[in-house]
Amino acid sequence: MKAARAVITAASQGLSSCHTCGRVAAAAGHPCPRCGTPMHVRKPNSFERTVALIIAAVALYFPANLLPIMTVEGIGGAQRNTIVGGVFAFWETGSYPVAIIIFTASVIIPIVKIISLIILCVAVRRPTRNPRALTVLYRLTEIVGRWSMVDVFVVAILVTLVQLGRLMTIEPGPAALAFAGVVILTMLAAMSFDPRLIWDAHTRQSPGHPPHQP
Amino acid sequence: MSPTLAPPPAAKQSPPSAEVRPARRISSTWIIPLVAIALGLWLVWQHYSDLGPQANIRFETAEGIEAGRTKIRCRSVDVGVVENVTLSADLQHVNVGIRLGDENEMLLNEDTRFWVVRPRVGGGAISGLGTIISGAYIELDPGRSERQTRSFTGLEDPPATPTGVPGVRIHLTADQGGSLGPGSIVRYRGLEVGRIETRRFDEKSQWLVYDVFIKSPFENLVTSGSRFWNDSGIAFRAGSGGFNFRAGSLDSILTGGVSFDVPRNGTAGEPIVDGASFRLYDNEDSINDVVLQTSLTYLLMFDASVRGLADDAEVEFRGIRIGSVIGVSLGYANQAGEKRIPVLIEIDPTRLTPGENQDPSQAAARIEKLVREDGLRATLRTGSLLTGQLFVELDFQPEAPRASVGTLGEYRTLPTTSSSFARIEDQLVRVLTKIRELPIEKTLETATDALGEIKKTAETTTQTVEGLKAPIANLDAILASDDMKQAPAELRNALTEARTTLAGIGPDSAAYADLSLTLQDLQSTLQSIKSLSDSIDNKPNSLLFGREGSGKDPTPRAPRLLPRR
Repeated sequence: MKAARAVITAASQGLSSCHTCGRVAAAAGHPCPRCGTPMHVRKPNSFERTVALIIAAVALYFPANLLPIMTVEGIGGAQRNTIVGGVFAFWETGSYPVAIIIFTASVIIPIVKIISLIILCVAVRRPTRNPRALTVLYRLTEIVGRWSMVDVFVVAILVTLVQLGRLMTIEPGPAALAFAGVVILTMLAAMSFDPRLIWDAHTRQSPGHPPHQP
Repeated sequence: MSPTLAPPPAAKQSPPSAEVRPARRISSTWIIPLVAIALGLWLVWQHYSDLGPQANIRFETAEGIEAGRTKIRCRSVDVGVVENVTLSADLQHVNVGIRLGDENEMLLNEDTRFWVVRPRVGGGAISGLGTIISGAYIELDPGRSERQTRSFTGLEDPPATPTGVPGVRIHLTADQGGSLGPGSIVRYRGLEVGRIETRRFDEKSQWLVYDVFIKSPFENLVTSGSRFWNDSGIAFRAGSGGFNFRAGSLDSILTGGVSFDVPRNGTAGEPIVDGASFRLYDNEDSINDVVLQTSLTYLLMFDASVRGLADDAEVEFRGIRIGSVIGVSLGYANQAGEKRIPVLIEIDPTRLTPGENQDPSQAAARIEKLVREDGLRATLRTGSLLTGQLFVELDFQPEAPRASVGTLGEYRTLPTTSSSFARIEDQLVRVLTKIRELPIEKTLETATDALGEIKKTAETTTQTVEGLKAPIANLDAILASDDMKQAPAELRNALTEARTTLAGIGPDSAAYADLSLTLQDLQSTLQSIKSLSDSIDNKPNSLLFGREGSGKDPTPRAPRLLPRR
């Protein structure tokens, strides 16, 4: 905290970096002198966009988990599996590692991402005492986000590979689309979230260091 | 304010006038969650709108049925899937929840039938082999009813005939189950025309009822005069006609079968309607036996043993079957002191009185008349000495004592006479009795006396013969005398003289010639007398008036009766 207090931020100097080329230039509202991109001190509407994307992700999360993600048509008849149903099927057949991987990637990670983004959104709106932990949470969210596409990849690969005619055919279910939507939306939400808001919130809380006032 | 690190010169000199725009209250970003919500809702809506109607089927067992896997098929087209399988509340059934595709709602009507297709062996065929690999599925046989329902009771066995196949359904009733069952073939002269669909037991009537489906176009073969018989297995019958062995075709031996035909002495009758009921006879013989157009039951009371008289034994009239024995039971005549054996028979009165007025209401009266006036009597007869089977014969016995139709309890009785065997026995006994009653001892005594008399007579005869000896000796002496020896010579002399005498009157003698001439004269005289008598006969008045045209020869006349020319 003490170190933070000593730091003179770019924003406090009326400077900002270009989103595209990274050039530091004065004042928001002007195009970047180098590449012409409009410049902002913070990502514009970051909070609002993140919240909107999270809501969209949550909206798609329910069909993604309730509807069958793939339909296996074989000799024994057609079988429609939801994500959780597939995890249970793998678990019952003894494929514990696969079950754990799918459960983690397809169920836990999207939930964790959504929850952590909600935590971050809530945190930037009120004074925070632990900006560093929040930043770590944000980084983790961003890193781990792409792995939740595993299930979508599994479905995509299976659908293309397993086309054995009457013996066995796998077709994507409606949940695949919704689930891909959830993953992409959470990734976009994580991207649109500006972690500097965490620190803005932190400095706003400290009386000696009023936040950036343009 | 914080010092700027590199203030832009323009800002320093003259701050640019900020273009002030009112902040948009709602960011366009919010379109994304709206689209996402719409998309999510659409996905959910589409998923559930694809789901068709749900229904519940009750089965005895859920063998081979898996929730989420087992399909519902209609003519091999997938129309739905089993959603859940649960036990019923009373644990007696299984409730199978199914969901059909949304376009298949019309399949769920009241007539729709469901059954589980599993591998099956029986009914002469192996079916459902495909389900060994693919697993069982539920077959849906759509009905035609307009009324929708969502609750069904599944069939445990597949119906032999799907709905919609043209044909007629009839019922066969039988008192014995035998080897017939669902899937058994119904044949007409060896041609398969239908199958037995179900077999059930009617508790009320205690009959087995078979539901039979006759395929189109064979339904016209079944008429009201048709008789059905159990064609299955091997029939061995020892009746009063001897032994009878009959076997159907190999598959009917294995799986059972029913045949039908119009009996030899029957008529085809009217075409039948759906749901007609027929009696199922035990074998082919019985359909020809028991075709009684009208029947009357009579009770026969027999003195003799009825051992060998089976139920359904023949009742014959001079060798022609006119009915059958319904039963032999002491219970028919529930009377104290009754020692005769009651036999209940059923006869067709029209066979006894062919050609007459066949009004059924008058049948009993006609029989009564036959009994009273013509001596109709019932007799037990032995049909086969080998098997000892008896049958009842009705015949006219005019010499029998007069009798009439009586009543005993609720039955009419026909008078009976004892059987031929019994009659022979009777006569034998009578003969023996007579023999026993003969006065043999007395006869023997008399005979002994007679023999004594004969002996005495014989002795007297001997004495008489002794007495005759002396006269015979005298006779011998007479014959031996010389006079007797000379007698032949004298006889010869007498004959010689006689010949000489006869030579005098022989043909060469003069006397003979005279005699011959005299006789010739006599003959001519007689001829003239004859001509005289003829003329007198022709003309009697010639005696008085002389002969007409005297001097002429008399002319012959034609007989008077002929017309003159």
